[in-house]
Formats: sequence, structure tokens, C-alpha cells
Amino acid sequence: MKLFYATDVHGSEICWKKFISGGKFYEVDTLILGGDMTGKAIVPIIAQGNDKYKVTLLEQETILEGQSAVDEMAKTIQDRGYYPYVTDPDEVAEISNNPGRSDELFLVQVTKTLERWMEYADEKLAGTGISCYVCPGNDDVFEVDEVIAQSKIVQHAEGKVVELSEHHEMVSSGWSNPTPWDTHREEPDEDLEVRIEAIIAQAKNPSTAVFNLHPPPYGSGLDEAPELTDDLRPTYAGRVLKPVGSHAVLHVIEKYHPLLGLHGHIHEGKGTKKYKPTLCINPGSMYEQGILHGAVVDLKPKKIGTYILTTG
Amino acid sequence: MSEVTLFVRKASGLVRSWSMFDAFIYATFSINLITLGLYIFSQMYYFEGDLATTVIVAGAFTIFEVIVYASLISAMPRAGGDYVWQSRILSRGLGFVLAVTGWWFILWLWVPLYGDMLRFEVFTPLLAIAGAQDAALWFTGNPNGSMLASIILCLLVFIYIAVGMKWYARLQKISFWGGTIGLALVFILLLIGSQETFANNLNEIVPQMFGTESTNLYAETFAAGQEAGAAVAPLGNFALTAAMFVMIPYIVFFNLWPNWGSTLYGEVRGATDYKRNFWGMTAAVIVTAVGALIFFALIARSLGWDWYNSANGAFWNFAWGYTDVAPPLPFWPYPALFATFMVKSRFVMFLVIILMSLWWFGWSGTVFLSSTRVIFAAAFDRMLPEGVSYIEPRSRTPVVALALMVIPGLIVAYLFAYNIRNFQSLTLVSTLVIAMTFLGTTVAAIVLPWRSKDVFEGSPIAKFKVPSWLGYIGILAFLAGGLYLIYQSFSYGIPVLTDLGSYDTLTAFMAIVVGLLTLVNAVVILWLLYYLGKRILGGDSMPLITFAGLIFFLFLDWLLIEWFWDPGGYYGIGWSNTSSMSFMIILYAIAAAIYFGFSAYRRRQGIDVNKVYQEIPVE
Repeated sequence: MKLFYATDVHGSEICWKKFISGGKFYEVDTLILGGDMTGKAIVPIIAQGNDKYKVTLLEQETILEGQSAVDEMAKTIQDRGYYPYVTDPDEVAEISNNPGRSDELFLVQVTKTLERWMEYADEKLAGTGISCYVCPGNDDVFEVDEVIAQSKIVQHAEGKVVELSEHHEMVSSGWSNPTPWDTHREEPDEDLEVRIEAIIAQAKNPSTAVFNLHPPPYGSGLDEAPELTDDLRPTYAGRVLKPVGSHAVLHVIEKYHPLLGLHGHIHEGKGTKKYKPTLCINPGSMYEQGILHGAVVDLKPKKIGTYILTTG
Repeated sequence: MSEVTLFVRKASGLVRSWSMFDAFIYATFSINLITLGLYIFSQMYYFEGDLATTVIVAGAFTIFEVIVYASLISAMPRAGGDYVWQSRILSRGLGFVLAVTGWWFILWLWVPLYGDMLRFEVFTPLLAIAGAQDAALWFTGNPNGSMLASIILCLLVFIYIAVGMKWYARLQKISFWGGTIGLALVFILLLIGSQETFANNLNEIVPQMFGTESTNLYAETFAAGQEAGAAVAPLGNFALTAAMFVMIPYIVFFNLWPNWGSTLYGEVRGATDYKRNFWGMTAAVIVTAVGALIFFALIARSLGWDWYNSANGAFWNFAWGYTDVAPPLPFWPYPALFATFMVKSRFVMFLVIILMSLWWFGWSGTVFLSSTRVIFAAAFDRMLPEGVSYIEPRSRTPVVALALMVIPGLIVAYLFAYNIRNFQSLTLVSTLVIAMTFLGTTVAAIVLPWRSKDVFEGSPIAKFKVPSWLGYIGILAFLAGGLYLIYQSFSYGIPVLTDLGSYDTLTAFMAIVVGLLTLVNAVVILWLLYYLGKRILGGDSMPLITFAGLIFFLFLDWLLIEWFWDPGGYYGIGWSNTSSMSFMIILYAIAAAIYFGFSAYRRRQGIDVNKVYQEIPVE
């Protein structure tokens, strides 16, 4: 069987579309999206009157004139992984001044976007015979699970063992070890290991399985992120990297020796690491540029056939 | 209260901006005045132009390089640098060949050059001051000294990589401050001293430290330098003369590298971060150029400008084998060491030289750090065996990637140290090959706004555009400059190619190779003119990255034409130097062989590597 894996699209509309289109492009029979589907920011497009709108994207202010300019900017914002929100100065002030209001707005945007994504996938994958699995990551709010579950074709994989082929199962979890941002699905490594072990226990043959676990194994090189100061500032201009992966993930890979480890979480950690016989992959992420990093892997019954990391 | 322009939720990866000063430090070490600068200034004794003007003019052109690279980092950050930019925007094959030659293979040649600077600026002066006269002279005068310095460099870099980037970054910061104190002391010593004091002390100290017998070294050095052809113009003639321009292809050995950390800096999330990258690199260009000008002025004041250049001429004329007469000074003319001669205290001498050595130690890691990333990137793209990305678990060191740097580097160091096939004449090849890589990236930058429209439009640089009138001027200037370069290259090449019969077969072959490159170059210039002319004249505005790219392209292209054809025989690495040409051809041939070989091998394995960089079409 041949699969295409990508991860950490973080709300990028174009990356999601590329992911879905990747099935045909790479001629695979299975699509797997690792965690972190949702975006991190809302960009307000603020009405100024007279059909003019002000928007600041990447610290560059633009005045838009007319609906078509707004639509075009909204697409640019979506492709970069942010949520465009057409509003007015009063609402912006109201959101800013009411704690919790922006969280509500985020939830609406996340849900709306994911519903659109699921519809897109259902339409494009229908009748192709390509399976599609999605597993939310530590940055994804719990409400996304329900939206994914509504899809006719996209299968929600969190906490499950699914059968990819007659020879291969897939163990999935988007939970991670703790991060400095106290995100939605993170927990200490000890608890994470218990969680993952419970999923693996459902597998018939872990040694030929795919472990789709969001954080990379600790110290694998796939988990190297810029070192941060206490106030979350990269040290030495971001040149100093340190391992931030999961010990729990490392333990289960070394214990069960699955065929393949699929990871993400650390966008800078693109690469592969062999824990014989396991091949661990983190394709990295460039979602902000609308570029979809991924991996195409050909799985033989008891070994990895071939693989490539892609920049699609 | 400032206006709200963004709502951010709780999510990983949301970090604050990094320090611009850290970026400045890395860029300052990359265009290192003390190592690269003083080394190459010393070799320019035979040029007749004004060195100060050359530093300023070449520095001005590198500002456009900074714009190009800061823009690319903004548009495609953390992507892997030149390799990915070229592969994504132009073509995978071109990106692979230019990146592995420019960021990997040619660094082998930099090993003996770093080693040269280590022995000249660190070992020889420190050993001499400490009283180890024979060891000091051995390091400078014996090829084994050159070889040992290269081996020590490789060991040091191995240690840097093993202990990690954090420790190296710390060392760099300490080296920056220590080196700056050292440089300030050198400036103070030169300022308080006089030519008379220097000449007297030189005549007294050098015999004690190095065992020379002459008691009038100052005058003898001057005479030997004049004999060697030292001809640098007096300082302060700021005219843009032809004599000055021919010095630029030499001086870029020192200042073409503000972008050296471009693949390492933090992710750019907005226009502010673009400015941080830009100013980090630009400040390094400016500070380094100003430092050079101060150094020149103080050398002229306290050592004598003509004397300094004569000392360089006397040293290199002998080192390069143009004369059998040893120079009166049996060591490389190191201005920092000369500055310490203003006082006779060995302690002060040692302290100053130790502090100045930090410029070398803080810089030395740059030789391989970026190369290992390129090797890893190529391995992840399945263009090298998986094993090259192996990391030894205990030391966490990429031992195979390091071996791919160190072993060929030491072979080249051997050829250089013992001057086999005239390898010591290849110094500027180290710059030429990287300039070729930069040229490829510059072409990618020029066309980025159209060939990768979505990436450009969604980046912080999308709004950086030049006014229409300046865009038209840019196109016209590129038209004039491009046609001039085509004319110039043909006028250099045709006399050579019509006289092939007068050269031996190998030299004639090299001339034909350069002739073919000249044709390719003309095609690239004409294609760019067509590609941009159609768009700009069609009403598109010109992005800043394109404008800066056009200027930097002309600059790089001119450098390459001068290096390859070298009608004045100034650089010695062009078509008539078969060692230089053979070395370059071998490097590019290895890169091409790996590219085509691995592409074919992967195809046989059922892997379509062409899809690695192909954009997925969205239905």
C-alpha cells in the first residue's frame, strides 16, 4: 500500500486542498493528516465606510476597495493559515475588551472552516477509492473532533487503531508532551505513554503497524525546535535548536518496533530517523507559505518499500 | 492604545521576535574583517587602485545582496536556503548542483584558507611572543605547519558540532566582545604610536622574537616589497577609477558573506522580522566597512601605507614562489602584531594577540555548519544515501556528514599546503563557486513574484515595491548593464577563442568551456530581459526583491566574467589556470553525477524524485 502523509497545516486552506489533491498526484491509496489542523490567528478586515476596508497582514497595512478586493485578501489570509473576519471598528473594540470573546470567535471560525474542508474532501475523494484519515493535534480544540466525525469520507483517527491494509494497522494520537503554550491536548510524558499504550493494546500486530503520533521521539533530530527564553523569545536569532520531542513516543517506538512512525509538531524538524527497523518521519511544515510538506511511503507487508519527503 | 490588527489564540509556536543583535554578530563574523579582510588585503599589494574606495563600493553592492536574501528568508523562511529556493523557483537539478557545490564541496577549499589564517594570525604570533621561535617560524614557513593548522581547524569544528550550536553561539558572543576589545586595543596602539617608534621597535623586536639577523628590517622590507611590485595607491583617492574596479573581484573574498547565516536565522512572521534580518546583515556590512577604513587610516598613519603593502608584497612574492629570496620579515605581515610593537611588553603583546585571535575562533565554525545542513537536506530528498544523515547517539554528532566535509577538506588542504598542481593559486576559486550559487539564487529571487506568485503574495515582502518610474529605470539599467556584460564577455572571449592554436590542448579546452559559459550567460541575461520586460512594460509594478536582484545579478555576473576571462591576469583562476578550471569542473561534475546518478537509482527503486519539489495541483 502507498500512503501520503502531511501534518501541521494550521488552518491553511491551500495546504488542505493540496493534501486532498495529493492522493491523485502521488498516486496513493491512503491520505493521512497528522495533527494541528486549526489556525492560530484571526485577521480582522475592518470596514472603514464607503466600501473601503483596512487590513493588516504580516504587519503590512492595506486599504481594500470593494468586495472583490476583500475576497482576494480573504483568500490570501486563508492560504496563510489565518482566519479572515470582516468586521467594523466597534466590533473589534468589543472583542478586544471582552475576555473570552475572541475564543468564541475562534471557535466559530475553526468550525466553519473545518466544515468547509470536510465538504471539499467529501466532494473530491468520493469515488476515488482513496482513504483519508485525520487526527487532531495538541493545538486543535476538542470541538473539531465532532466536525470531522460528520464527514462521509474523512475518518477521525484519534485514539483508535484503524486498518490501513490487510497487513498494516495504524495507531493514532495527536496528544503531545507539554509545550510552553499550555495547548489543548498535551499532558506529561508519563500520562501520554499510558494513553498511547492503551491505543497500541488494541492493535493485533504492532510490529507491522504505523504509529501516527504527533510529537516526534525525543532526541530523534525530528524534534529540534528553536530554544526559547523564559519570555518565549528565540535565543541567538533562532540559531540554537534543542530537542523537545516526547520520551513516551520514543519509548513505545523502541518497545514495539513498528514499521513506520509518522510525526509532526515541530515544523523545523523535517527529516527522517531510523530506529531499526522503524522509520520515523517528520515532514516538517511550511503552511504559512502555502507549501505542503509531506511524505509518500510505499509499505510492503513486513517492511518499508520506498519513501520520499515532498514539498508540494 | 494601539489599534488591534490580529487576534491570537492559545497555540504552540507563537514566539516573540529574536534579537537583531544576535543576527548582527553572526553576520559580522561572516564578513570577518580580521580574518578574511586582513588576509585578502595583504594579497592585493600589486593592485594600483585605492583599497578604501574598493571596500566602500563593494560594500554598497552587498547591500543589494542583503535585500535579496532578507526578502527570500521572509518569503520562504527556514526552507533550507539556496537549495530549496532554487529548487522550488527554478529547477531541482540546478538547485542541487549549485547548492552542493557552493555550500558543500567548495568549503573543502576553505579548510586550508581557514588554516592559513589560523597559523598566520594565531599560532605564529603567539608562539613567537611566548619565545617558541622555531615553532612560530615552522607554522608559517613549513608546509607541514599549513597542514597541521588545517587538521586543527577540522578538530575544532568537530568539537563545535559535537557540543552543539548553543555552545558555539556562546563562544561567538564571547569572541565578539573579546575580539572587539582586542581590536580597540590595536587601534589605540596604532593611534598612540608613530612610524618612527614602529620602525625602531620593529628593528629591535623582530630579531629577538624571530631570530632574524638584520637590524634595518623596516627599510629592507620596504625595498623587498617594491622589488615584488607593491603598487597600491595612497589612501584617500576616492575616485571611481578603472584601477579601483579591478580590485573588487578580489575584495569580495572578504565581504560577500553577510548572508552566510541566512538559512539559520529565526522564522520571519512579519515586516518587523524582515527589517531585523535586513538590519542585522546591513549593520554588519557597514560596521565592518567602517572598521576597515579606520584600520587603513591607522596603518597609514603609524606603519606607513606603502610600507605595509610592501611587507605584504615581500611576503606573498616569496610564498607564491615568484622569488627565491626570503622576505626580511619571516612571518605574515599581521597589522595587529605590528600594533603591539608600539610597546615592548610581551604581556601586552600576548594579551592583544590572544584577544584578536577570538576573531578567528568565533568565526571558525562557519566553515562546516551550513554544509551539514545541505548534506542533510540532500539526504532527506533521497539524493544521497540515508546513512549520511546518521547521528552518533552518544555525541549527537552527524559523523558521516562531517566525514564528507573533513576527509575531502583535508585532501584539498594537503594539495594546498604542498602546493601540488599550483593549488595555492586557487584562493579566489573559493569565492567564485559560491558566487555562482548566489547568482542562481538571485535569478530565483528576481522571478519569485511571478513564478511563485502565491508564496510571494502571502509574504511580508509582497508590499515592498519600488515606484513605477524606478521600476522602468531598473529595467533600462538592466538592459544597458546586461548588454554591456554580454559585449564585455564576448570582447574578452573572442580574441582568446580565435587564437586557440597557440595554447596547449588542456588550456584550449578550458577556454572553450569558458566560451560556452559565456554563451549560456548571454542567454540567461536575454531571458531575464524578456521575462521582466514583458511584465513590467505590461503594467506590473516592480517588487523590491526583483529590483535588488537585478542590481546584484549584474554585480555577480560582472565578477564572474572578470574571474573567468581575467584579461588583465589579476586573479589567476580563469581559463588560463588549468588547475583552477579542472578543480571547478571536477566539483560541478561530481554534483551533476550525484544528481543524475541518484535520480536514476531512485527511479529504478520506483521513486519519482521529480515529485519532490513539484507543486501539487489543486483541483
